[in-house]
Amino acid sequence: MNSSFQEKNLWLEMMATVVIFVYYMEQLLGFNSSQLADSTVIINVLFKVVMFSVILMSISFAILAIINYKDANKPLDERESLIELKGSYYSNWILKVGVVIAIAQYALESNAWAIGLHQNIPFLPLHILVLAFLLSEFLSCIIQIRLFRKGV
Amino acid sequence: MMAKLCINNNIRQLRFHHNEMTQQALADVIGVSRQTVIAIESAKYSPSLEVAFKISAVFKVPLEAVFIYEP
Repeated sequence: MNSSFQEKNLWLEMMATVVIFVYYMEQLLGFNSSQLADSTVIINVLFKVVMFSVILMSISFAILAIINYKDANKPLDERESLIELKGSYYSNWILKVGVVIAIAQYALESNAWAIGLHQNIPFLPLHILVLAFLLSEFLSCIIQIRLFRKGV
Repeated sequence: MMAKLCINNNIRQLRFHHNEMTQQALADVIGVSRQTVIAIESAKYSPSLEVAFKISAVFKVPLEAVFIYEP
């Protein structure tokens, strides 16, 4: 069974998410404690991650659209829409859990209930949000690819 | 492996009896992708009523001649 344009696009999205995750972690782990606590450094990394992901997704989609120019402009059919809906259902849940954990972490920090954690990893709620977003994207791709392959 | 659905179909045979219509040709007529026709044929996806009626209209047979419920 040949892969549809949508499925190929999901594979590319998944790979792009992994590359962005590796890039983000590489940047964070390369910083010393004073750099990690510097808001301008962290904002710079976030800006780079956003720009990097937009460029990566655009280039990969453009290449795929050139190769599969016939299917690129076709709207999703009912099966593809259903798969997308199911994938986004689970990814939304992961994102929601990530947001709740980030808010809880922020509440703990601001009330000094988790003193040690705050000193070790500054801007932890922000990193939790970014990681939750990347994880939700990754799992959404995995779930959708599985549904494309195994049936929905 | 995901379990097969209770609704089976005769699309493959019907295509064969209609000048060996290709999956792509059927997909173009009913407005879905070829992969969706493959998924319907292999009982991995139950189409909506609209698509089911479109398929039966293409082959000019009643809906029961295309889809069979096998509980």
